[in-house]
Amino acid sequence: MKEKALETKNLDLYYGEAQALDCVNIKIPKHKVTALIGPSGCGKSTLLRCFNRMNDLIPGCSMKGSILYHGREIAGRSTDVVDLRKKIGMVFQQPNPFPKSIFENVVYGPRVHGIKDRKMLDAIAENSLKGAALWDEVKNRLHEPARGLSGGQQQRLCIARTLSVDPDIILMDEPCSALDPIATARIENLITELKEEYTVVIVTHNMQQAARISDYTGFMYMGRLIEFDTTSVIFERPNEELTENYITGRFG
Amino acid sequence: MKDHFHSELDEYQQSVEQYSIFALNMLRDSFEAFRSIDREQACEIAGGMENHSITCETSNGQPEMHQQLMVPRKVFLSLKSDQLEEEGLKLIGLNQPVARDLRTISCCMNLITSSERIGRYGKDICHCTYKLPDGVHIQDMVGLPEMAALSISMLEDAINAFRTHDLDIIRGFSKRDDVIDRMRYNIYEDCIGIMEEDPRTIPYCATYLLIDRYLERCADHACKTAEKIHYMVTGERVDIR
Repeated sequence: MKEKALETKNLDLYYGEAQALDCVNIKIPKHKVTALIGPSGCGKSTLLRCFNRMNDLIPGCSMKGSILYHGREIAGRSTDVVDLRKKIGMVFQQPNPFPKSIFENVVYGPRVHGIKDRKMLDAIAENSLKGAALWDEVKNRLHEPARGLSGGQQQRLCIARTLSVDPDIILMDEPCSALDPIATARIENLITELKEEYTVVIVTHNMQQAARISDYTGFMYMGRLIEFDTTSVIFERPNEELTENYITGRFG
Repeated sequence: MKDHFHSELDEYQQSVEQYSIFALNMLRDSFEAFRSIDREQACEIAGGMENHSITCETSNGQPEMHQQLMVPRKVFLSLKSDQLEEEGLKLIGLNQPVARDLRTISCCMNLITSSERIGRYGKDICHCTYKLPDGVHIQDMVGLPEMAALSISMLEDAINAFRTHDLDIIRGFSKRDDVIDRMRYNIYEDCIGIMEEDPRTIPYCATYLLIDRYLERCADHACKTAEKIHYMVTGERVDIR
């Protein structure tokens, strides 16, 4: 692994009394796609949300251990979470465009961060939509409601919205599970292109998707990171029997 | 309790194992027919009828069609190979297996291809047998029976290792293959010498040279199968030759 974008050290997380993460140590490589897999409730989405402190919004959630973003501690109170979430964006399972136009959805973030110049906003919208492979489909209807787009287009719009604030890392929590196979294929192609400029961490239940698009894969079970390695090792000859049993469907 | 896919995979492995035993028997029986110059037996081995079962799935809700065909053994060898290959591809297409499941199907595919080739060598030995001129074998077949026993024992061991996943069975394959290679060249040189001394031996000795080559190739197939079995069991590639 050349350079790591994110790293956790002995990370524990509790929802009230219930422990959701148990001493997780993971290094997310820069400009690679890392997939987190595991059965429901294993902690993969919780770990993903730790990376941009989304768990702070959950009442009763407490965390111990260290999260380093390019070597800088981000788990502490001194971290500016608004700034952090600008650098570490997130795309969710259900496409969630705002009830505004396509254009306004994309420039919402830059506007919040104080950009008012129209030409600059136009340029950001175009670049972000191109980055999300949506520009050609919407360039003539930028001011139409975003919710008029198809599910797959809405999800790419959400990716464009994430790109508009110039992030460094994109977190994706099952971004294709609500999409049909064609829209899924487009998002998967997009993810492969995005890693040229961004670090991508994706949570997925679709193991073939993890095998197709990720460079590294982590298998989680009951809050622990059981195995983390290159995707080819995980899917060809994993070292842990638990991983092998999960990916071959011999589980439980 | 096993899920549907893993039960199907177990059945598939058993079918592939049965097919490889069928092909090995063809080779073993054909060499025995050659040894005793039993032309009738040779014809029976290559051309005897075998029951081949075909299942057609219909897409319009009609029940599946089953058909039983009696086909010559050499045709069965080819039809069954295609059928097993299709079944393997279907398992991959429908279940998208990974890790040891995928390695198992990959090993099965290799064993199918090797087995078809081994069965065809058996058929070729049958052809050699009924083309032999009247007479008796020369110099106890110049060492061919020993070589056949060694090649066949390697194939048996490969099939056993495939069934049991016991890698100890295939551990000495490299050395056993070296012995067979040396035998092959010894037989080659001996045959050339015999033919130079007495050209009347040519029809027999030329046939020995052909079978010498077939048996050496069979041992190579055993080694290749052993490599695939090792990969299936451990996930690590080894070079056996």
